[in-house]
Amino acid sequence: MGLQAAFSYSMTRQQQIEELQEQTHKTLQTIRQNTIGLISAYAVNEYEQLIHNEMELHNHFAIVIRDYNMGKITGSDAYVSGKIRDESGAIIDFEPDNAHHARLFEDCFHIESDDVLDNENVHLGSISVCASGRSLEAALNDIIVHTLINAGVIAVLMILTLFAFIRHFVLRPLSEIVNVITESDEDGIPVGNIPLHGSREIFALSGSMNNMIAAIKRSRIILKRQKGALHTRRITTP
Amino acid sequence: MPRSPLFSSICLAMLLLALSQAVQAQNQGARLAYLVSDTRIPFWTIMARGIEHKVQGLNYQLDVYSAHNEPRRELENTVKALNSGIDGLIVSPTTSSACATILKLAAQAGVPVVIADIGTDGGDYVSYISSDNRDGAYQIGKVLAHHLQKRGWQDGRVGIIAIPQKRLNGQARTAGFMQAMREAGINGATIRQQVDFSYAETYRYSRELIDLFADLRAIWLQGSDRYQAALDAIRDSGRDKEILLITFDAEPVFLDLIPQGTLVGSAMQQPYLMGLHAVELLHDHLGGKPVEKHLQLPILAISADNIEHKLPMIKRNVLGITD
Repeated sequence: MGLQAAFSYSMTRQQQIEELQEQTHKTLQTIRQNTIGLISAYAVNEYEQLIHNEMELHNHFAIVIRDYNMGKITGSDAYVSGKIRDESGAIIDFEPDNAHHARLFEDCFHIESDDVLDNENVHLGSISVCASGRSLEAALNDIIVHTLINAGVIAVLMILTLFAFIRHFVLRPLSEIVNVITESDEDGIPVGNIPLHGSREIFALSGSMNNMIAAIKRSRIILKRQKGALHTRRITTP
Repeated sequence: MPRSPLFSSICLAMLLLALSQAVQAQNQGARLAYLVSDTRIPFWTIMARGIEHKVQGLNYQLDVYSAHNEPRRELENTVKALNSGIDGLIVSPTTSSACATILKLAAQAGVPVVIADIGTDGGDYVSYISSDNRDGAYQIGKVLAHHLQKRGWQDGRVGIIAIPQKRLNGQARTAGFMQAMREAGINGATIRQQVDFSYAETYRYSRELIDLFADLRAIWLQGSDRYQAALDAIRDSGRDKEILLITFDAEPVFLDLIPQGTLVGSAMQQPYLMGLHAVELLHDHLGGKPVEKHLQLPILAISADNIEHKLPMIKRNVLGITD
């Protein structure tokens, strides 16, 4: 089970990382394609809405756009905006001047960026998609939890099965032997035979005990018979 | 010794004057900006006039920036206004989506914003003033229903040439009007949505409605500026005695066309009044007073029956004529 869990952990980790990278790439391409027109049209709110929708759909940690057109208007290199998740996972505005946001963005588990170019290859801006390791951690934690649950369930099942097995093949036949031995005649010799079932050892024990009881009974009968003959001879002899 | 009423009145007047001067002195040097989508459109010019009038009364300085319906210019205007050190901003954005960006930039600059019409898709603002489009359309629908019933034309149909229905105000107008039609038992024909708002487009839509429905008895135009296209289409179809035209919003010429019966009526928004309220709300906010988050102004349902009575209100609040 430990080996299987370790294998599953490793495989899931690899698979999750590949899926995460693939999804990050797809999101980046989708946003890049759709923002060309929006950046050209100075439709800031529209591309921010697009980012919000993509983050909701694919659980990304942050998406940031550097808009050079808006940058010219605001008097900076680029107008930086986007969305990021807070501690509770809620999507909030990315604030470029917020040091905490900047640090979170730098510490991304996986980040992919691309330039946004118009039809004449003029740089309109750039997009960065940040994928969090949270989903990966959650998936791996799931594996650990599932493995622990499976191990617990299997252990309980094994204990119950073992108990049932011992009860059926050992305890019950022993109990029956005890019952048979307890039901004895005035001489203390068991009256019945021990049933022959249970495990091989119990079966052999029961058989031997039955033979022993039978031998005792026969010996007892012989003894009684000899005792009776002796008694008769003593009366008839003057 | 009891004081005379004259003395009390003089004292009160002096107190009020002193208070007024204190407020004006407080606002002296304070600056506001009005970002407007396009001052080439009369509706916005009238609203700007209302804002300017109120700003003068409160002794603020005002800069008006028109985007000429260009998103880039609108953002440039926003940055320019915010960088000029204004104390408050009034916005009539080009779109509700663009407004969200303006609000974000204003929030970063710490400038409070009042939205005058159109609305926003998100962001923080002090107050949003709009017109009650649904009720206005409902009231003008009732006016039309009354006129159709008066002529015995209630079995006929009513066609709609609408502003784009993806806009919330367009949806509200259609819903309010259709409610009035349903209540009067009048059937709708069909709806055509304006795209480029040109004369040719409105004329073509009007002719299509007229040609498609032989029992068409009225056209409702959800705007005012292309009224002539609809009137020409009705006239050219030769059915000008059979089809009524009713509109939304107002042009100065409506003051003649409605009494003449050329137009049955129009639901008139009050842009000048909106401008006045926008400044008042911003002024109250800057003064630390609580303000309404969403203020809906009524729309005037004007027909020949009430135009004379409402004329001063129409001239001032709708058309911004204050002389």
